[in-house]
Amino acid sequence: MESAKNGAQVLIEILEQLGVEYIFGYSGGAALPLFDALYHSSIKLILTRHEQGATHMADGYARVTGKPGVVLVTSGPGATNTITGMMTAQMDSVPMIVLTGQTITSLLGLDAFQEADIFGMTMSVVKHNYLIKNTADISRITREAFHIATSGRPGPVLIDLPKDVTSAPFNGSLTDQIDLPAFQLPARPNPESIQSLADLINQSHKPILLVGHGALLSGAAPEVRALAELIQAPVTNTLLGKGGFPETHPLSLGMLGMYGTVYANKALLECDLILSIGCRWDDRINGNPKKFCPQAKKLHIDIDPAEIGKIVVPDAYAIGDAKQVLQELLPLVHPLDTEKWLERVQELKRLYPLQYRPFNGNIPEGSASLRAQHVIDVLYQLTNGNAIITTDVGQHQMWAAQYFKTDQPDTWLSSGGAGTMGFGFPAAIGAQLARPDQQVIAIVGDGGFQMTLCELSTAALHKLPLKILVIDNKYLGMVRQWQEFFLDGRYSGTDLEGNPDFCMLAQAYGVKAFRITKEEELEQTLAEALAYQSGPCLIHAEVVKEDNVFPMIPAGQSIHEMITESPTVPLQMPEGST
Amino acid sequence: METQHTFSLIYARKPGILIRVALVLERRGYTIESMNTSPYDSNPDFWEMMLTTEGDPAKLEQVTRQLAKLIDVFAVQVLREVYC
Ligand SMILES: Cc1ncc(C[n+]2csc(CCOP(=O)(O)OP(=O)(O)O)c2C)c(N)n1
Ligand SMILES: [Mg+2]
Repeated sequence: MESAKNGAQVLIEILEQLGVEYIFGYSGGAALPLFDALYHSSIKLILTRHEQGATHMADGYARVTGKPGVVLVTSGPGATNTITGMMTAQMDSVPMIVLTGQTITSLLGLDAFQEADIFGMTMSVVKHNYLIKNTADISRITREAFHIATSGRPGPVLIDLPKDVTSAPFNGSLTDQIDLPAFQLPARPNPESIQSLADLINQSHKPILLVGHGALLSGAAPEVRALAELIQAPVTNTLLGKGGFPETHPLSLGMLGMYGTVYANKALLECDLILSIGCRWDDRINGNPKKFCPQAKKLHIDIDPAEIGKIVVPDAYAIGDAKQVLQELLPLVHPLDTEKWLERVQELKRLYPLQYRPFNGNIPEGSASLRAQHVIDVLYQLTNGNAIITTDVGQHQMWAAQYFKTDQPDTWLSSGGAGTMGFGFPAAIGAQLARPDQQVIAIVGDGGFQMTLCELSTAALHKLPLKILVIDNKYLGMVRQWQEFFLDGRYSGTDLEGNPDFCMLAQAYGVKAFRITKEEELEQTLAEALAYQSGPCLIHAEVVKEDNVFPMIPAGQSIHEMITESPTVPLQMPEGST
Repeated sequence: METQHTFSLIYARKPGILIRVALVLERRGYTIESMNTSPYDSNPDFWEMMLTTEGDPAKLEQVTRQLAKLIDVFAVQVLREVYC
């Protein structure tokens, strides 16, 4: 007997069963059966204005909920437009499912209209991918995709769906289960390896806990805190580790690394043990792995065996889910006598506080004198830090990381591994849909915002009460900063002359807009904007054009080479990545 | 210095597996000299791939772990390491 449902309808039904609430998508010919199947589904379709926006929305949704974000696009250019978003999710271990339409199977490989070999093209930016050639496989593969995206170290999974496969009657079994004989979930952490962590911790006098995204992904914030308080160790976090340990806690050193606090970085130079909890020691953190804290024992907890020894060879490690490892580690460690160490750390905090003063550099006639740090700091005070923050990429991202302290898990969303400009605003849309009752604020640069600002339509249409704070320095500021320091101020390709009037732009989309140009307006205008709840609003903050992020450790250099104020002579271009 | 390594991969014969393996090796500077696949005697779910490669021995452990991380790879063994 012929099934009443076609492949697309079965796929959508399985998504419903799997608890999918939203699909972020953009339609097209090859995806017609899928969009048709959504028409009567309980899943809400969020029609975006660009496929990249859809991926970052799904990403934002996934980062706050822990559930995979789902994207649906058409073949060819629709599919290729999702690549940046998948790479972004892959680099930051975010679960995501991307469904792409495809030309019919008989035309595969014949350069058919809007045929793109998205399966081949995306292998290196996804955790796994599929091209379905038989309708009967839809049930099994969809379930496999969700399983892979969410288990172990999460990541994006793509399913390419030829149009004849989605339109044909489904004659398989709806309950087909996964068939992944080679896929192994991380085993229970090895007790001996946990004991070896404990042995080194128990001998330490100057430990530091280093919290990465893995701690958040495993929901280990309570265990991190329990460990820090038990052994009385200071805690530092990566950009994506914000929220894994409260940054307002007395033991917190805030963010480390290239633009981290001086005291976190200096404390690393003096510690005798670093325990990485789901941090992969990447080049923003270690500067130069050969010179990274030779005096300290390095301990590593990671769910991904391929991370062990990839950058730093640890003195001890445990492979497994961070929460589980910490739960088993806690009974094996005892309170340490770190009183002197904590005093020293406090001294570092006093000596090298994270602070900004009124700008004392060059401000051309008629230009803004407001500092972005000040804007973000006041935003932090007015919200009491109680908001989900998304950021774009650049100077504003680093200032937000420094001055908007994060206390709660899953409230800080930023593209770390990929550094994808255009991420911040659509990610906020996904986050706001997932958390309708929370204050969601996108802190974006004038450059990055213009990469995905077409989603103003999407935010306005759904009346999402999110805030977009545009930190407008009229430059690709982070790149300009490097040119100032290392290239003798030759601002090649970084001047954003020709920026639109961001307030008028917002209004054109029916989005409420506020402008801040002076310190005197800052508090009141921000408060007004925060109180506005009838839909999205944009806050255009015109800030000092040529401001710099400090402290800064030039790429590839060690913590000793940290710079804390504008150099007066040109520095040598660093050899490390970027 | 480059070293010749022979790997044995036990894997599920699913779409794309050869490309995925090649991508892991290529990205880390390992050249494939020979590749041979055959059904795996001890378990009908799997196939076996014998790979001879040339590459930097310092990257061997990372390459092995990245191969093992592929969803359709069940096990990886380095059978032989020859300095050339
Ligand atoms: C898609 C993309 N293109 C280019 C870059 C390189 N890049 C990193 S930061 C930056 C400047 C961003 O400028 P803006 O959004 O205005 O933020 P600002 O640094 O001024 O705060 C650029 C171009 C990137 N990270 N992503
Ligand atoms: Mg800018």
